[in-house]
Amino acid sequence: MTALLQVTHLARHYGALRAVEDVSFDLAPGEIRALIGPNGAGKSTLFKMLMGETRPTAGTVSFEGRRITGLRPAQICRRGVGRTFQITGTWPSMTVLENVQTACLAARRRTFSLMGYARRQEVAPARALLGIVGMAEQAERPAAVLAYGDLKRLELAIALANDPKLLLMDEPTAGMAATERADLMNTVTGIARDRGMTILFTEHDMDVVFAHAESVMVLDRGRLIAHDTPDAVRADPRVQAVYLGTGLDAAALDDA
Amino acid sequence: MLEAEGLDVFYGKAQVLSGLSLHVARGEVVALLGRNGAGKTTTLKALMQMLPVARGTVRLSGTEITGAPPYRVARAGLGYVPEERRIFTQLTVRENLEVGRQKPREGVPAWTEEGLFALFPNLAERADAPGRALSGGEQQMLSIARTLMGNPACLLLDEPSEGIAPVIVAEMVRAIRRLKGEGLTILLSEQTLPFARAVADRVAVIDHGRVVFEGTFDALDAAPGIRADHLAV
Amino acid sequence: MGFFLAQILTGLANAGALFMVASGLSLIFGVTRIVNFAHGSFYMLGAYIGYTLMQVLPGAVGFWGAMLLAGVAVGVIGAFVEMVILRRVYAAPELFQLVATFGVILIVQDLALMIWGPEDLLGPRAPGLRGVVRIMGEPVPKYDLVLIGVTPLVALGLWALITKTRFGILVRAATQDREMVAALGVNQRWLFTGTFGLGCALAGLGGALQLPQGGADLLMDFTILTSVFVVVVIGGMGSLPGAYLAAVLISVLGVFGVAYLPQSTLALTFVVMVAVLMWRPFGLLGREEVAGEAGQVGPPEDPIRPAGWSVRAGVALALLALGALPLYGSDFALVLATDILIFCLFAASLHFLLGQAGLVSFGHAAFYGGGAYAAALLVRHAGAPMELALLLAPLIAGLLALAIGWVSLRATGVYFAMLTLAFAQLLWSLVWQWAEFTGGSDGMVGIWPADWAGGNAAFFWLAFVLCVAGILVLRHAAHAPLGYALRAARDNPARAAASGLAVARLQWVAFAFAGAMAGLAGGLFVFAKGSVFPNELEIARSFDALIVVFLGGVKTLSGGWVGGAVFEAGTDWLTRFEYWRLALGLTVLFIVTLAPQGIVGAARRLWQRGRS
Repeated sequence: MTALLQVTHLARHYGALRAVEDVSFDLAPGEIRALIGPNGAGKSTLFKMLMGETRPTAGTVSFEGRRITGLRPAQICRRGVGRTFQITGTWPSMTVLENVQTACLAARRRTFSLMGYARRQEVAPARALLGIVGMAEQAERPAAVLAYGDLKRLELAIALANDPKLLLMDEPTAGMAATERADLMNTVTGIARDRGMTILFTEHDMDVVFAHAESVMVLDRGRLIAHDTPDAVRADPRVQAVYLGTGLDAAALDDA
Repeated sequence: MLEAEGLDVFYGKAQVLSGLSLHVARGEVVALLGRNGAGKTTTLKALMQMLPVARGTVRLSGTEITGAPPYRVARAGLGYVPEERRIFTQLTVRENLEVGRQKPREGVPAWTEEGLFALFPNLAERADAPGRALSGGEQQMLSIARTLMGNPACLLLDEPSEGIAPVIVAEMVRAIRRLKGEGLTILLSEQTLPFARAVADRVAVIDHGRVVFEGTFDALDAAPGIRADHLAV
Repeated sequence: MGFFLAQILTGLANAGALFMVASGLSLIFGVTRIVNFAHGSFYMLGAYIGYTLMQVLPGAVGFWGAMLLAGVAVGVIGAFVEMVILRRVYAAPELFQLVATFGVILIVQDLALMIWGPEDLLGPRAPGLRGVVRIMGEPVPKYDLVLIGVTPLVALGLWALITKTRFGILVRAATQDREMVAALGVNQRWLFTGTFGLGCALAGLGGALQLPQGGADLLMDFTILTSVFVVVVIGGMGSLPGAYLAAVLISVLGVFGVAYLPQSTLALTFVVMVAVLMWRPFGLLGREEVAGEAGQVGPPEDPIRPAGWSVRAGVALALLALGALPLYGSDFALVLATDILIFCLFAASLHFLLGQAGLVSFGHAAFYGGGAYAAALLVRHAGAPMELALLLAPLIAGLLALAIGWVSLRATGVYFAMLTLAFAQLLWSLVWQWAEFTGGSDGMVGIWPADWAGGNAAFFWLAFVLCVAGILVLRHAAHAPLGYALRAARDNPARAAASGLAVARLQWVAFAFAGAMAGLAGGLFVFAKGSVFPNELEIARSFDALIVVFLGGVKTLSGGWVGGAVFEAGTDWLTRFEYWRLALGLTVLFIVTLAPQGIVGAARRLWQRGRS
């Protein structure tokens, strides 16, 4: 099968700091993959380069066989890449429904239009998306007053408006309660299966990673140090050394 | 030492704290646990009067500080270490400490630059380096040291273990234990239970802007529902 | 070679005052986040106070003492202004403080007129430094050499103050994060007052220092402001070395411009500025701005709703009553109503830019005056009929906005704002200098409407239809997909871009749209008055619109035209008094301290409180 996303020798340097260094990988259509690694390993920088928010120092990104390096985020979005942010991104001056309507208008490329009232447009598709993420009852509330977990759901609906082939999710469940996390990830993987959507997500909660990812990549100090099935990654001594094994555990601290 | 009664705080129309009450006794270390968005940072900021408190009172050593400007709260002896560290990146380590300097306070340890460099040896080596050159862990230490320069009687620490390397986390545990040893009262917010357990005497769990559990770690362990429903652990 | 050197020396000497005013502005902005529009006024006060003191104090000691004292006096006045006025408005949304500083400008203008009279004052020569020295055969005034020496000394002193003292450390810390500084036990109020006083003292000193070269006049407050903004933009906000570098660069460039290309001095400055910003969007030594300068700080506004039927019916009735004004109003009422309608459209266009796109422009008069001049020039030089001129005025203003926006939108926040101001000023000086085509300072007169629209009533109806339609289109745009896309780009640009919104292009379109609407207002203005003068392009006109938008309320849909109507009607009434600027300034300060959410915002609050 041909790759949906192809990353070759991607690097980003900030002065002497090598935030991302020589990262290469492919993503096959329909795959669900996690990207893990310690804070500051370069996960967010890598995401920014995939979405066109940061220009790589070297290397290329191709989507469906065409090079997307150097394109702007909006252009990459139109090729079929969606993303959610670590710091949840919504538009607080609008209602929940209007947030999704605006994203739908963007997907139909109607954002320069002066015709009609925006709040009467794209109502059905927006409501359908809100239904999918379980936010239908909150459609009329201002986005500014939503609880944290609901904001994450709203952002997911916004990101789905363009019907992306690839969805990048930066820490989709950070700060949610355990039960909420499972709910959200089940929703996401369900959508992915229904639509044949490919997902790449970063995550700190290993329960989420090992329950939902089909394969796992590990980033450490800007470099990919492992890429395998969840079980193999879990057993990898290098990964344990830099990341898994050094998670906080009470015993280690009590010795401190 | 620090008492909050029935705090209501709003952000725009959204209520972020509702009737939150909290007590920290002199010399005690209390951990405020809760997931993102539960209201931990808001609580600490409200105690510091950095957010408008719509209802309720905050007392420090028996004196009401509700509604006072933050600088007066700081001068009254409440020290605040923010989650994002917020060190002055353009200033050197020494200059950062200078900003925090206040007169010595009766009944609490008086800190000097030397004393803080002894507590955080990493900072001594970087004394004249600009804040932006410090690593995440060093920035966290500097942020704490800067607040200690004000000789606070009570310290508010917002997520001290967030985003720092495990080696540094251990050092942070050591530092907090030493501060407790010096007689400092500390309220710290945390997302991770193990860190809280390593430093704190007592724990308060908050969710949706109110305290849903207050007690010892043993009591928390005996209430597994609290962990599943309200904590990201 | 000697000539070359002499030119450089003159440039260095001229850089002195510019550097002091610019560094003061940049210092104040860094700590208080206030763009002090009144900074030129403090510079002017320094010159006047220095002049008076020099008359009183004798000899060389008196001369130099007067300069220092002028700086101190202006510093004290600045501290007073900060304590009495600005302290009341720090809590208001960012940039609202602009309105307060604008009030200060008006008050200082009239006070200076009262105290020192309308005549330009010729500055006294420095004792013992009257002549010139010859350097490589070229005459260089002795006083220039003193200025060249004094400026680096002041800069050095300032540098030492900022880097070596506790005050300086606190200032630098507050520049980065003032909330944190307060949380560490530092009383911000005195820090703000001190910084504001220091910045004003620098401006005052600059004003006094240039007395022997330039004297004192009532226009110098706005004259210096453009150069100062240019210097700050090129040097980088908050950077002292940057301010010095840029002041020298601009001054030397100015001197060479005068020598070689007298017509293009200003254009040259702008070419340099644009080049610098293309290369470094935050100035030579500046850093990226972080905090929200977009006037959108504080909790987000409520989601907007199209008006309900009852409101629409009410508005329709009010419009009907207004449209029937020729049936019952006097000629005076008609002329005034026409002026108000035109100004409302102008204000509403800027309000759209600020409120929907979050773009704060300090130079919106470029498009108002641009539309006015476009119409007038078409009539004068192409013999165009009024109808064609009114059609083309918004188009030309829109194209102008496309061009200016292309450059300005590369910058953000306060840099963007200052760039727009600088461009407006460039246009103003173009009109001023190109007298054979534009009439220069004499303006263009005798631009009358077509015969059918010649009467007061007919022209009122024309203005009524076009302005109301324009305002309604602007308002509808907020509800249309474009409005939602703009607010999405304003609320969270990264999220908007990742959803496929072309953020940069949306803002560009909004800028051009607002410019075109301002151009329509400008075109109508020309035919209403039968004439146009360069002051339709000047800074004060841009500020008028800005003040009105803030007074009306940025975070409301009606803020623009409501503020415009109140302001224009109020100005009309106030200008009957001799010291109307003083009265207007005091009124502005009164509203600012009483209703920091603006008129519409305050009214809505009262309404909500009344209901609950």
